[in-house]
Amino acid sequence: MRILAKGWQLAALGGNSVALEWGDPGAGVWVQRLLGCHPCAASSVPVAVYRLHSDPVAGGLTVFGGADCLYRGSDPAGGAHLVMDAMMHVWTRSCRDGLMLHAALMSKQGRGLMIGGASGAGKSSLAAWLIQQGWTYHGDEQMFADAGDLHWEGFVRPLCFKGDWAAMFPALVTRPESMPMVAGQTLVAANVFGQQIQPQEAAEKLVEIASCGRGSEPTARAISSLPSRDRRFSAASQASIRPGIMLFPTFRKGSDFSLRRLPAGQAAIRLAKSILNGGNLIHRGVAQAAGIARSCPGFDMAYGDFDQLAPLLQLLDVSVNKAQP
Amino acid sequence: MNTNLIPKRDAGCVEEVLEGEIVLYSACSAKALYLNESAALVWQLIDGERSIAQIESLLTDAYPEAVTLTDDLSEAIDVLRNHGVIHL
Repeated sequence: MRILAKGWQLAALGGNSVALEWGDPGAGVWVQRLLGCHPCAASSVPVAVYRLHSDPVAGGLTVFGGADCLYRGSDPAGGAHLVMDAMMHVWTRSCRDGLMLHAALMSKQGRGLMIGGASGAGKSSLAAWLIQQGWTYHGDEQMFADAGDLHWEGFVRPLCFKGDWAAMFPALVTRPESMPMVAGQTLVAANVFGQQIQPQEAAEKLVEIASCGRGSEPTARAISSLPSRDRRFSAASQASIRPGIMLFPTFRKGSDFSLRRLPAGQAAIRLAKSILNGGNLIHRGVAQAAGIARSCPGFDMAYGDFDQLAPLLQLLDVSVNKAQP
Repeated sequence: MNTNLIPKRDAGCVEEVLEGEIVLYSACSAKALYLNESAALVWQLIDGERSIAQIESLLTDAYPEAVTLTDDLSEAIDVLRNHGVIHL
């Protein structure tokens, strides 16, 4: 299997693209880990370019943003995390038409489920649980909501679990000891990448991904190169996601379960609190948040265990089925 | 609270009406404020001409059975003022 020495990939969110370049196969694997499930963007001038280089001997990673060295260290996962944060920051800063939201995004049959809430509210773990229930993953941290034509899109990054949550989802998380590219390295302390793609599979895909954005059918090639068990992650993310439900969960171990419909005004306020690019928008995007809340029901949910979530699945299934023509 | 005072809406305030409730955005505080139906009613009666006493009278006429109306009105006025969406 030929692995390209260098290449680049574009990723877009909210109409703005970011380019990740890699200067060697090891860095290319990390680009693939970050963007392997995110839809390839159409050719466009990126608003930011990040360049990754790996050190095959020490196992480290170096990250450049333009001419600036943003990271150089022996913890490649830390460097990769920094790239993700930088990309999300750039997308937020560049988004002037629509809402960039701090929220996870899932879908079923093209119908979206936005999971809002502050850091630590349980967005990633709930997203992981919903994957196991047959929902499609579109991101666990940042999404874009167009209030005009009402479509949603997410940053399909690797799941990032905080604390001990990764242990709850062994089928989704590649254990560090099985990741040869980072063997002996320490992953980001508070986060473990939920790699849907094994490193060796990622390396095999580099040839395909390298042509992404330059080939005549980059999207199709990228999707077809994904292993079958991962196909739903990327394939579904290409489709337009129609707004469905907004969910604002709170996890507290041992908590009783409650699920209640929020009045539209409260849902709008909750949504407005998740807006990241408010500084770019008229009235900090409150009118757009209200517009979404008028058409999408919002729910508040408290839970203390995944075993309590059967009523949530019933609600979501009703929502999906009702939306079908 | 001096009920002879006349509350006035802040000029930089924007409102969004959703199913009888209101979401206000205050440009001066750069914050959004949720008003339930009761508070939304108070907000809608604030026109820059009615005093708090006149608003209370209107509400009493409309909801004669409401026993906590005076307290609710006072609380709503306080919340609106503290968020900078009205001035007294």
